[in-house]
Amino acid sequence: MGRFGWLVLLVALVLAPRPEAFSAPAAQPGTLVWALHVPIDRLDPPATFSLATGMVVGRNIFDRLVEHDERLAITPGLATQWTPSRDGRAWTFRLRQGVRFHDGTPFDADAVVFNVQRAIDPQLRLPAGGFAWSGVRGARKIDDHTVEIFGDQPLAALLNNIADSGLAAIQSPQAVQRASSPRDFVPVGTGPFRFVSWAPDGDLVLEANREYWGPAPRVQRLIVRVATTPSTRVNLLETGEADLITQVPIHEIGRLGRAPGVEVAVRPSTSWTYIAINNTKPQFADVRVRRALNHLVDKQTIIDKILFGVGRVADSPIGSAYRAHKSVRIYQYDPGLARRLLDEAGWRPGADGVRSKDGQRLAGTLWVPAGRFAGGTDMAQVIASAFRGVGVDVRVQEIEFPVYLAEARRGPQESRIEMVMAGWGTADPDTGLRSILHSRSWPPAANNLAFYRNLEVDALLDRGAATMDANARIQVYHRVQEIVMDDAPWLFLTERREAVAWRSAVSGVRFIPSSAGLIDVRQAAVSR
Amino acid sequence: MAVAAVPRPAPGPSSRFWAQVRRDRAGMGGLVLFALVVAVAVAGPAVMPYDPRQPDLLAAFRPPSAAHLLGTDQLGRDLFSRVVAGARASLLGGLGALGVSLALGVPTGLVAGYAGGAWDDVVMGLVEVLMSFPGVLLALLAVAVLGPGQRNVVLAVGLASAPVFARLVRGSALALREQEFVVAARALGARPARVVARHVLPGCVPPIVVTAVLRLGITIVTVAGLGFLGLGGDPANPEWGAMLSAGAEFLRAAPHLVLAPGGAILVTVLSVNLFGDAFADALNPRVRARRG
Repeated sequence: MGRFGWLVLLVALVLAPRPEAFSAPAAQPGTLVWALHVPIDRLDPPATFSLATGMVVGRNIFDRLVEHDERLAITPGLATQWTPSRDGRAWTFRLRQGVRFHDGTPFDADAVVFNVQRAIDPQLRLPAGGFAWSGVRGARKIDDHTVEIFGDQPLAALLNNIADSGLAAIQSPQAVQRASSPRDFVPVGTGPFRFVSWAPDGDLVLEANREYWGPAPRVQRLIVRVATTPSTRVNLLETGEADLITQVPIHEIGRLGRAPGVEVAVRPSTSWTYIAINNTKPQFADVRVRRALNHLVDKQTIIDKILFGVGRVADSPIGSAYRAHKSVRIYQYDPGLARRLLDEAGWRPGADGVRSKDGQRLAGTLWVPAGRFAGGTDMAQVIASAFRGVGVDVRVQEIEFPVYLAEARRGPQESRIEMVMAGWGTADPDTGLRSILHSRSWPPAANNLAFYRNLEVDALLDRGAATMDANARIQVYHRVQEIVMDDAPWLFLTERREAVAWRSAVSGVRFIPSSAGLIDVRQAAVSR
Repeated sequence: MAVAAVPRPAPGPSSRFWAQVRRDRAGMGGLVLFALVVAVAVAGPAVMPYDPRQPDLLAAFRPPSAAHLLGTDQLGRDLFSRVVAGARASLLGGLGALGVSLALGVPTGLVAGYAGGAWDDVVMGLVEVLMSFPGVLLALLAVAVLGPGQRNVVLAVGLASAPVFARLVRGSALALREQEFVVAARALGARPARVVARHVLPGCVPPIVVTAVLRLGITIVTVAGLGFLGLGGDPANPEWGAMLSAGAEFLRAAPHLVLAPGGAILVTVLSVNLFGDAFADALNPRVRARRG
């Protein structure tokens, strides 16, 4: 455990004297109160992978050049038209005219160029650079309302990447330049809501932007109240202090569904949960060991009993909501086969019942980021117990999210990861797979937490990112899914479902199965 | 009565103490209850019907029944077995933390109180600073530095309550230092270490015992509290605090997940506090005089 991480946690505890807003006043007419399951870490979307920032700040205060609809088709945002060059290395965007940022400055080609250049600035090392603007080398103003975004390679994933997360939020250049530190950063966008106030770990308050270029918001205020404890969110909803809650605790879905005045929806998402196995650790380097471990995970029973049926057994590294998804195979629960594979690989039980080989014990610690995954700690315990049954000594350790983030930034030499529960999910298979499986994505560069390296996969992923033909591209990703499933760099677990609940007075909540759109309240209304 | 006619030697301080404790019914009740908890902790595996770490998902959330006295938890583990196994963890945790704080606090207090002067000022200044923090926060800080895991939690809680003993012992040592028998020992040429060990320390024992017993309840709760916060290491380990936090999520649907470990903590801490109070009263001359 990182000492620094625990100190961060401690400081956070000390600096957060206010427990989760039990005393807050009940919602008022024209106000939508959203009890959010994850803390908002900062208000500058390109600077953080945080889902909360992307989904809440990125989508409501800001717009992107293009957006996703519910079926993940690309629709206009701040750009009205877009066309790739013949070789795919450049995209030309026609920009919406007459749009102004909340601070009154005009939205134009200069603003787009500023945002792209800032995101890909190697000095700043913003997450947006490697993700939303992945492969982009620069942006060029053609006229006041036309921009060209270009790269060295064809940019096949660009539109999906821009639309997917909050990272590609277009900000007012003036506001960004005025902020001298993340602390006094004021988010100024073109979106349907403008920023009013924010207390870290408390409420984020937004008000309707009456000059919005698109359909006007149907509420006057949007208050986002962070409530990381699941039962607190349910209480907030039932007492009417919140109108909408995200990540309904799965064991409460049934009860809330029958409760009067409350609606519950369980929607597919592109996200999935897996356990990365550090492939560079000697005990997990052999593919037979990793396959054996996969055969020890009783995925269907875990989904039925721990996730109360909310999930789907992973049959591929990526979720079935992707157009490029291929149902490859499922590692069936088979402890006998697992034993044979481990024996075959030369791992023999020792005096204490734990298998070892050449003095190396088949043991490790499985980290679970606390509270991030529904049933995460319970799943981990069941898996570890099944491991122990065949002589694999894995201990479960919950870690706080800031600690997880710090550990996930350590390079291959310093990494202390042995196994770690993780989640991923994007709108495009390039970001969906490359960021977590390409060998150039090893931490600290990106999120290949398994330190997986397969040169064929690397080459295919590079080709996929540069293949403009949609069908040829899908074929490339099918092959990647087959190889990865075979190499078993992770324990494959489950595709996620998102459970959301709201009071019946709320209408117009949309679901977009991308990472940031997920819960879209831009057109939500409250009748009171 | 004939019994009263049997001549008995005059009661010594120790038997007077026990007679006093025995007269305190609540205290005796506490002692009996605590003995029961200790017995369960010692018997441990012998009275567990199931492996407390072994999940059985098909048996999850069972209410109390003949097969599972306290029901099963969210992973189908037998709660009775987990509570029994947790008794050992909790008692060892509480006692271990107490041991750590005694080992750190008593020598510190002795030196500060007996040596006095600049030593006293520096050491007690530090102790005052530490005591101005709530114990739990101090323990959290210690875990932050040491890293999570049951052993570090115990160390941290011990560290956090050491200042209490340092201050207590320092006060006693300060008073004893001026007593005639101590002055006499010094006049006879005894070295400071011998004076402290033979003459000062024994005088500090009664308040240490009382405080330690009263403190045990606090250390047990604090260790469980850190377990509740998920700092105790492997969540599969049966530890009452961790069980409480895992069960809290299912409070509406399956309250027995919380009631079992919660009840165990309640009984243990209540018993410790009851007999701790009885000890304190028995050693307090004013209370003794009042009760005759």
